[in-house]
Amino acid sequence: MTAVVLVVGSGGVGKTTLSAAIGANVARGGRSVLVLTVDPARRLAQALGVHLGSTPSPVPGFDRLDAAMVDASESWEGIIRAHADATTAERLLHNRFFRAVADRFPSGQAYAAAEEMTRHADSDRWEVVVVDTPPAGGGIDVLASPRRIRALVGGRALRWLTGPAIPGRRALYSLTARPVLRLADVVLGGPLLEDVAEFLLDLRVTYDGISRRSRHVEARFKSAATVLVTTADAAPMRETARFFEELPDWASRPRAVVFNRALPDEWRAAGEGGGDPLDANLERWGQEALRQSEARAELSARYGVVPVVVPWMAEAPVTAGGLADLAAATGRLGIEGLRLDQ
Amino acid sequence: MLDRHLLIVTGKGGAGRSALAASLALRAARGGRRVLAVTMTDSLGLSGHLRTGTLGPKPIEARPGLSAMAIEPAAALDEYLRIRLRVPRVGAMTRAFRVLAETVPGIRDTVVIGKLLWEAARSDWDLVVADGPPTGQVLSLLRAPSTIEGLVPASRVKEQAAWMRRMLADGAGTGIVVAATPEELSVAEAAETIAALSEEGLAAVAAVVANRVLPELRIDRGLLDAEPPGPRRDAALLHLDVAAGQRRHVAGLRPDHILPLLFGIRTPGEVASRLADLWELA
Repeated sequence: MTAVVLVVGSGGVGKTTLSAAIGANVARGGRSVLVLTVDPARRLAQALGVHLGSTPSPVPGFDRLDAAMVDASESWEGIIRAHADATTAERLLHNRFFRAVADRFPSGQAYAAAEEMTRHADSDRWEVVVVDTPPAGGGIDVLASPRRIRALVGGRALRWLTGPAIPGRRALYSLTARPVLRLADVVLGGPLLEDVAEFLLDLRVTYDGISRRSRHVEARFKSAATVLVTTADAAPMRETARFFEELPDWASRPRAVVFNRALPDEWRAAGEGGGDPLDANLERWGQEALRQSEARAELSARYGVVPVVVPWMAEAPVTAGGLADLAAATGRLGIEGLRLDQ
Repeated sequence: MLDRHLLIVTGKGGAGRSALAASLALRAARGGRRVLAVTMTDSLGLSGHLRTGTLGPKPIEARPGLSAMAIEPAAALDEYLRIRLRVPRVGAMTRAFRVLAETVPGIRDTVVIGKLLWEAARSDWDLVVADGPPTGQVLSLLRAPSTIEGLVPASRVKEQAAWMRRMLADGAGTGIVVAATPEELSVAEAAETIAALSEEGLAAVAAVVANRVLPELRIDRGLLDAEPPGPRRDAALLHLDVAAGQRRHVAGLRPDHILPLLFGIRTPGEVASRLADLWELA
C-alpha cells in the first residue's frame, strides 16, 4: 500500500520546502514518490519542474519523483457533482444562497485537498505520497475536514430542519422548523433561510457518498506518517503544542518534529569577544541561538521528542537535488528515519 | 494611523499579526487613548502579547486604558439576535439561527465583523485594534456585509449590513494594517490583499508593514575573505545573505513601516512592548 507522509505545522515555517525535500530524499532512496504541494514559492516551483500543475508531472533530474499542485478552487462544485445525481447537482449549484457564498463554504477547500491526496494515494502509482498541508489551521483544518463535511451534510442543521429522515424521499421541513423559518423570514425580510434550507435538504442526497468517502479519507490520515514542522518563534511553538494535544484525534503521533531555521549551538557561547563589528554581530545571533536551544529543550522535555534540526539558510535550494541534500543531511527525513517500511 | 477608530491587522501566517496588533494597542494606550484590543482568531496570540489571562467575549482590563477581548461567533450571534434584531429569547428561534449561522459563512462573518464595528462605534473606546484573520481570509470577512446586503430584501438586517459596509469603507474611521515578513509568499499575499482592498473599495489601507527585518550589517564582504572560518565569519555571512534576500522583498512591498527582527527576546509580552517602542508614528 502507498505510504502517505503528511507534513503539518504553522504558517511560514517552511512546510512546503520540507515536503519537497522529504519527497526528493525518499525518491533518491529508491522509492517512487509524488509530492503534493499547496502554494509553492516561485523558486521552489521551479525546482519541482516548470510544468507544475494539478496533474502529476516528473521532477527534472529524478527518475521516479513526480510533483503536483493541489487545486481546490472549485472544490464544492466538484464534491457536489461527484456525490449528487445530475438534477439535484444542478439545483444545488444554482441555489441563490449557495451561489452567493460558495467560495467560502466551510471545509470545502480543505476537504478537496484531502480527497485529492486520497485519490493519488489510492491510485497505487507511487510507493510514497508526500502531502504539504494548506497554511490555514496549520494542517488541522485538512485533518478535521472529513468530520466537518459530514457534520455539514448530515448534521445538526439538517436534522433540525427535516426531522427524522425519510429514506428515498425529498423531505419536508420538520414541524419545529416550519414556524421558526417563517418568523426568521419576517426578521430577515424575505426567504433567505428558505434558500438555505432548500440547499441543505438537497445536499442530503450526497450524504451516503460523502460519508463513505470521508471515512476512507480519515483512515488514510490515521495511518499516515506525520511530520510536524516548527521554528522557535512563539506562534509556531504554540501551534506545535496544539498539534501534540489535538493530533491524536486525527492522525498518528509525529514520526519527526522538525525545527527549521536553526542556528548552530556553538554560537550560543559568543558574547565575550573583543567588540569589533563581527563580534557584535555574532553576539546578537548567539542570543538567538540560545533562545532557540531553550525552545528545543522545552519541546523535548514536554513531549519526549528529539527534534530534527534544519539549519537556517539564506535561500532555499533551487534544484530538487539540493532539496534532497537538505533532507538527507538531517539523517532522519528518509525512508528509515520516517519508518516508511512499516 | 492611531487617529482612526478601528484598525484591523492582517498578514500571512508568521507575519506577526498579534504582536503588531498588541504593540499598536500598547502604543495608543501610552498616548492616553482608551483602547480595546480584539482578537478575531486564535486568542492565545493576543493574550500572550498583552500578558492577560484567557480572553473571552467580555472585555477585561489589561492595564489602565487598555482592555482586551476575544470575539466568539456564538456569543456575538446571541448578542446580535437579542440587541440588534430584538428577536425574542425563544429557544427554538435562537437554536435555529445558531444552527444556520454555523452553516452559512456569510451570516457568521457578518456577525463577527458587526461585533467589531459596534465596539468601535461605542463611546467607551477611542480606538479598537483587531488582531485580524490571515490575508487568505480577511477579504471574505470584509466582503460578508455586502454579500448579506445583496441576499436579503429590505429589512433591518439589510440596513445593518449596509451600515457595516459603509463603516468599513470609511477610510477616516477604519483602516487595515497589512503586514508581511520579507519573504516571497508573505509579500505576494500582502500585495494581492492591498490590490483587492482598493479595487473592491472594501476598506482603506492604513499602513503597510514589513516585520522581522534584519538590521543592516555594516561589514564589507571583502573583509570576510581575510577572516578565518568559524562562528564570527559564519554569522556575518548568514546575516549578509539573509539581509540581501530580504532587501529585494522589502523593496517589492514598499512598506510605510519597517520593524526589526528582535534577537533573543523570549516572551511574547517583551516582543509587544519592544515593538510598541519602535513604531515611528508621525
